[in-house]
This record gives sequence, structure tokens and C-alpha cells, in this order.
Amino acid sequence: MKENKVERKIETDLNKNIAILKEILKDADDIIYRRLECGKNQKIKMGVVYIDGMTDKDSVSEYAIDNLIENLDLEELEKNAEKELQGAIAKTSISVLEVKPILTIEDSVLKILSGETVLFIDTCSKAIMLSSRGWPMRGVSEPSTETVLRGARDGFNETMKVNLTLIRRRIRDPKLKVKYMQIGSVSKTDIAIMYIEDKVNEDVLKAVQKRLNNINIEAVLESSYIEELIEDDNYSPFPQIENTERPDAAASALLEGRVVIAVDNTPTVLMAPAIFTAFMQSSEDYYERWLSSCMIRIIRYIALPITILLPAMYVAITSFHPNMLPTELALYVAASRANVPFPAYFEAFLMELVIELIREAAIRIIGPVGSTIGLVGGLVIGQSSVEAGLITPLAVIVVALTAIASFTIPSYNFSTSLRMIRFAFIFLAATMGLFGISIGLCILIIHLCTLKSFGIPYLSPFSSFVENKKDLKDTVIRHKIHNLVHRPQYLRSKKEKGL
Amino acid sequence: MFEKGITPYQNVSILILVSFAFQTLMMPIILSEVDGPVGWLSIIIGAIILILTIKPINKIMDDYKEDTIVGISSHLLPKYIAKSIGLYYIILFIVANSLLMKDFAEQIKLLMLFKTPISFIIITILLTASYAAKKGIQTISEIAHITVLIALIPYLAVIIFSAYYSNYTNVFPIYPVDIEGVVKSIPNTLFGFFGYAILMFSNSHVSKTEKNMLLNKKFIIISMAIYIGCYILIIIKFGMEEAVNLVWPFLSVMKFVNIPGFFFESTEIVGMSFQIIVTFSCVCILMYFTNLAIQETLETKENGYFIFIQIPILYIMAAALPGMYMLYPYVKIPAYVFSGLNLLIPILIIFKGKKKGKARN
Repeated sequence: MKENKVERKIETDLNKNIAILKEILKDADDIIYRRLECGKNQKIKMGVVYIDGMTDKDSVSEYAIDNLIENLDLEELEKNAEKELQGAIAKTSISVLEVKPILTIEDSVLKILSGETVLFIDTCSKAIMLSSRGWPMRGVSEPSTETVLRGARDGFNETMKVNLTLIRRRIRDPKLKVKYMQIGSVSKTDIAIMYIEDKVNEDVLKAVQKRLNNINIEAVLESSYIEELIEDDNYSPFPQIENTERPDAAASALLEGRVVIAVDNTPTVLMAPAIFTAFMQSSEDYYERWLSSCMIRIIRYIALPITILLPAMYVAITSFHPNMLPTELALYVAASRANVPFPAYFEAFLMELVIELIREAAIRIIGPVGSTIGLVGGLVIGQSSVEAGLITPLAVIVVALTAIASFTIPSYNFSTSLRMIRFAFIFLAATMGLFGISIGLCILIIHLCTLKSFGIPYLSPFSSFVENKKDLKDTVIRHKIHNLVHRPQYLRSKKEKGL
Repeated sequence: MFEKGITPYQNVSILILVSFAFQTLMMPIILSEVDGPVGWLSIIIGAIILILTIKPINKIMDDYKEDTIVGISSHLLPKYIAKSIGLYYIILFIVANSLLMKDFAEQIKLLMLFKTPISFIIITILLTASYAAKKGIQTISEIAHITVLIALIPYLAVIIFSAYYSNYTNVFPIYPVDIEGVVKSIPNTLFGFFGYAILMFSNSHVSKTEKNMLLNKKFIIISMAIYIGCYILIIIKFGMEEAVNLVWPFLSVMKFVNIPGFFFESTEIVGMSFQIIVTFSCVCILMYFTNLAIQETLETKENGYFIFIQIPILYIMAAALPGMYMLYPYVKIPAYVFSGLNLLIPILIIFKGKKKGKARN
């Protein structure tokens, strides 16, 4: 629900306006109120309000204040302006690029808090907003969460406008649309929805806009807030919106006909809709030669079942179906397990838990020490556990192989979902063996078949692979670029051909 | 802009998948019914009979778009007959589903879970399948499509590897043909095309109905090819004398899978894992269409809660049924009845539809 506040109009008395602002923004010492007497005869009283640290003071004083104080001629202005004094001042005496009239006190407060400078003029019932946002920001650097082997090394930063610029630089098309909105009753975070007019699916766009409009939250501190609030199914372990720190990935999503959501103060933009195959792809897939990309994709799809099922298979085969193994291997497994005090499922669960602990610790420890901890921790714990007779060498191999396989999944949040599911499969294997794994797979398939991302089936194009056969050229394999001229059919874009 | 129905090929996947499950179920009967390795003849005849009815039934369905066979019969036939047709399909789907589940649960118990009570296996399958069936036709169709891709095709591909060291001369002698046996087993083979009963309901959910006729024919041809392929594979592997004694011929074939470099010793468990997914999808499909038949017969709105009525019925029926090896002698008569009615009902509707069309002209 949107709040319905009564908005107060700007008074013609400058002192009153400043007093009201001081009342609203009391106990905020970083807000600067500067009174000016402008014009050749210092006849016009004005007040400038801005936040110290969020405003580019130099540009305001150079392109507005100096001119107002020194050159403003009230008589000349009154001759031309009739009633709209502030309009005439804005037109003739301020050379700041973006200037807007402000009618209400609440609007002026919002602009001030957003880093703009607001100019109040005595006797005028309108104020002027001078665009002056300027704060210390991180430069455009290589994204730390998405490694770049080949391709542009610029990454998004925390300033939304910079992020939009990085995308605009890649798509110089008038049909690239950007719609602004603010979300968060307290944070009033700027959000930008980007799409290419003749490519986007209207239904998806409407769904995105509707869900964003329905958000009722105090603050949006990261784009993940938005992601969680607008995704189709919160209970699903699988992400339904893709995120990236790479402008080339965002531009590619726009060209496919998807919607990109940029959130201020966040270096991660969201891309919707996102389906299963999107999480298995990386930008490099399109930058490398198509045959190598094909091989890499196939490896990822081989890694996928290993990531989910290998520990569960180990548990099922050793506990329920040892007859599946060749006799020599079955005897070796039985011999190595003879001295281990734990059942196979506990062994697998324990080792998976250790791997997760090491992984989490490695992320939290800054710099190269983190990866060293991971490596040393894995080696030492694995070796010591085998020597102590707590686990079998085969279990170490299985868990290590699973961990390595999970690293091949390009999307971090998708990989995390798979890791979570792995534990469920270990439980099913421990209770029902291969039957449990098969039942688990059935449940997984059902879940994925019910899942949608903004109305698009999550398992597209596999879920209708005959109708969407053109899309199969960019799934498990990546066909030659000149064969990828069709926009994804599952997106039902307006314009079918592209690239 | 988003499609509300299912795509034509998703429909084909549903029909092929269900048919395949019943083909595995009916295979021992066809093997034992026909004297000599010519059971494929009755499969071909069965397929031809069904193909002949596809065109007229699709024409009637085109006239009553978005109506299933129960809906169409309520337009063309007296109400009590229409209700009886609805009731028939409910019984057919429930009986077929419980047979499938019983057979499936027994195989799992035999190969995978020796100590687990069969009722536990049945209830696990039922509860999981009900979750899918309640989600609606789009989910069901997607499951079927994905299952064809990740389970049915690999399963059939793996089965082919059992053809090593087979005696291909087992397919002979073709002549003299056991004509009586071939004719007698036609109803059994028709039961193996169970998708034909499903299409009476699923066709109305297809988004592009104009493709239905062609794709229904495609379904019968593909199913026939799979049916004949599996039949011949079993014959060449075991020979007629041994094949007639097999309770689960598909499982027996899987024992002989010989993939170069494949180190698992009991390959039937690997095949069984694929089959679990295939059969499980069929259980989901049948549960959904039972639900649909109940809705249509009782003329209620779309209501997923009928699934919960099915669970105890299916559980009791599947648990109460004797083992499949004991059941085979008794399956023949119901198979005759069901196959006959599966064919007669559409023919009756075609006949009535034509009569009404003429009267209208």
C-alpha cells in the first residue's frame, strides 16, 4: 500500500520555507542552508539547500550561484517573465544542465536527500532543483565475483547511473528504454527498468512493472531484496532471476528480449526472466570459439548430475546395492569400510559438511589466505580423517569430485541451490537407496516443471523441445554465432530474429 | 501471450509415455498368446485399427473444441449414457493405474528394496505423484516431455545394447502364421496403446488443435515402432520358448546390457532407475486424467482435490491386487473388455456425430 501523505506547497516567503525544511530535517548537521542576495542590486533573496558530501559543490557554485549573484538583473527578468520568476531565472541565469521546478516541500526534501541542490527564491511559490549529485564512488573495475577470461573487464559499481551508462555504451539504440522508479518508504532507492522496446515480451515487462509497483518495504539495501520480492516462488531453492556484475551480460540479456533491473547502491543488476539454462551459461561461452564453448558447456552439464547425485549414489550403492559394483571394487569398498565406525550416509554427510565449512570459511577470510585455508583445510582434514579411520578414501574422492564439479557451475546462487539439494538426495539415498534417488529426481523434475520465471517455464526450452528446437542450439551446446540469429523462442519476443 | 494449454508435441510425449508403460505391462501376455514370433503382426493390426479411427474422432473433437470425450458425449448422447462413459473412463484409469503401480512396486521390491514392505513403496509413489497431478495439465505435460528426453530415450538406447550376442534367427519362422493367436492378441496389443484412451481427454487441452490429427497418427506410429522393436529384441534375446515364461521381459533384457566400458555389474538396476522415472510419470499422468474424468462426469470446476480421493482407492487396489505373475491369467479378460470399449466408445461418438451433422445439414 502506498502512503497517502498531504503535500505542502512551497510558500512565497523564503524564511518560512527554510524554517519548514529545518523542522523536517532537524538534527541533521550535514544539511547546508545558504542564504544569498542575488542580482546586481542584491534585491532578490534566495536560499540554497543541499547535503554536504552528496553534492558536487563546485559545479553548483560555478554554473549557478556565481551567475546568480553577479549577473542577475531583476528588472530585465520581470519584463520578460511576467508571473514565472523562477522559470525565467532557471532559463536565463543557471547553466547547470538539469534543472526542474519543484512545487512542494516534500518533493524538495526528497531531492535534497537524493543529493540534489534546491534553490528557493523569495516571493516565488516554486523552487528550482539543480542537478548536482556527486559523491565519492568506486571506479569501474573488474567484477570480483564473475571471473573474466575473455571479454570486457569493466564491471558495475554502486552508482546506478554509471551502471546504466555502461549498458548504454553497448546498445546505442533509441529503442533501449529506461524507466525510473523509487522503492522503499524510507530508503527511497532508485530503480531503473531497462528493456528494448521491439524485443521485450510485453507480458513479462508488465509483470515486472506490476510486481515492482506492489513492493511495500521500508528499505532496499541490495538488489537481492528486489529479487526476493518479485520472484515467482520464494520457497523454491532455485533462483528465478539472474544477476550479474558484468555490463556485457546485462546487454546480452537486453538483446535477447529480457528485462534488466538496476538498483542504486548495488553493483549487481537483475535480469528477468531467468530459466534453468541461463544459469548454466557464461558470457565467455560466446567469446570463445564455438567448438571449445560446446565442449565447456557439455562438461558443465556432466558436472550437474555429479554435483547433485554423486555422494547420494555413493551412499546408495555402498549401503543398498553393492552388487552393482564389479566384484573387485565391491570387495575393496567392503574392506576399506570394515574399519570405519560410521555408516556410509553419515560418512558422506560429515564430509559434505566439512567441505561446506571450508568453503564458507574461505569466502569470509579476505585475500589469498582464504584460498590457502581452503586448500590446506581440505588436504589436511581429508588426509587425517582417512588415517584416523573415520572415513574411507573413496568417500574423500567422492566428496572432492563433487566439490570440484560444483565449481564448474557459472552461477553462484544456482550452484548453492544444487549444494542444498545434494543433502536431500543423501537423505533419500540413505533411506531408500537408488529408489530414493529416483523418487528424489521425480520430485525435482516436478518442482522444476511447476516453476516459472515471470510466466516462462523454468525448464524451457527442454520442456517443449520440439516446438522450441531452435533454442536447443544454445543450451547444452553453443552453435556458431551466425546460426544463433533467432531470439529465444521461449521468451515469445515481439521480434523473432536478431543478433 | 503465454500459452494456457499444452503444446502438440507435449501431448505426443504424454501419449507415447503412457503407451510405453502399458506395453511393458502387456508384453508377457502378447508373448504367450501368439504361437511363434509373429506377435508384431497383431501390433501392426492394432495400430492400423486405431489409425483408422483417428481422423473421424478428431473431426468430431474439432466441432466441440475444448471438450473431452465425456463432454462431447453429453452433447451427442443421452445424459445417462454420457455419465456412464465418464464412469467407464474413471474406472479404466483407476484400474490401469493400480495395475501399473502394483507391477512397478513389485519390480522395485525385487530389485532394489528387498526388506521394504510393498505398501510403503506404493504410498511413496502415490504421494509424490499426487503432488504432480495436482499441479495441472501444463506441469504434467512438461514432466512427460522431460521424461521422454531424460529417461525414455536413454532407457531405450541402453536396452539396444542388450542386442549383443543375440540369436537373430529367433525371429523366424514367420510362416506358417498362428492366425488365431494373432487375432486373439489384438485386444491385448490395443491395451498397449493406452495413450489412445488418454488422447480422448488430452487433445482438447492442446493449444494448436489443428495439428492433433497428424500428431495422433504420429503417436500411434512411434508407439508401434517402439512396441515392435521391444518385442523383437526380447524374441532375439531369449527365443520364444524362454520368452513366454518371462514375468518382466524388459528387466530380463536389461540384465544383458553390454555397454563397452560400463563397469556396473547389475545393469538391470540402472535400467530400473530409468523405468522408475518413466512409470512414475505415467502414474502422474493417469492420476491427472482420472481427476479430469471425475470433473467432467460430475460437471464440476477444475478441482485438484479429487486427487486426494484417488489416493486411498489406488492404494487399496494396488495393495490388494495379487502379484503380477499370478495376475496375468486374469488380466486377459479385462484387457479384452477395456480394449473393446476404448474402441467402441469413440466409434459410437463418431457415428452419432455424423448423424447429427447430417441432420443439421
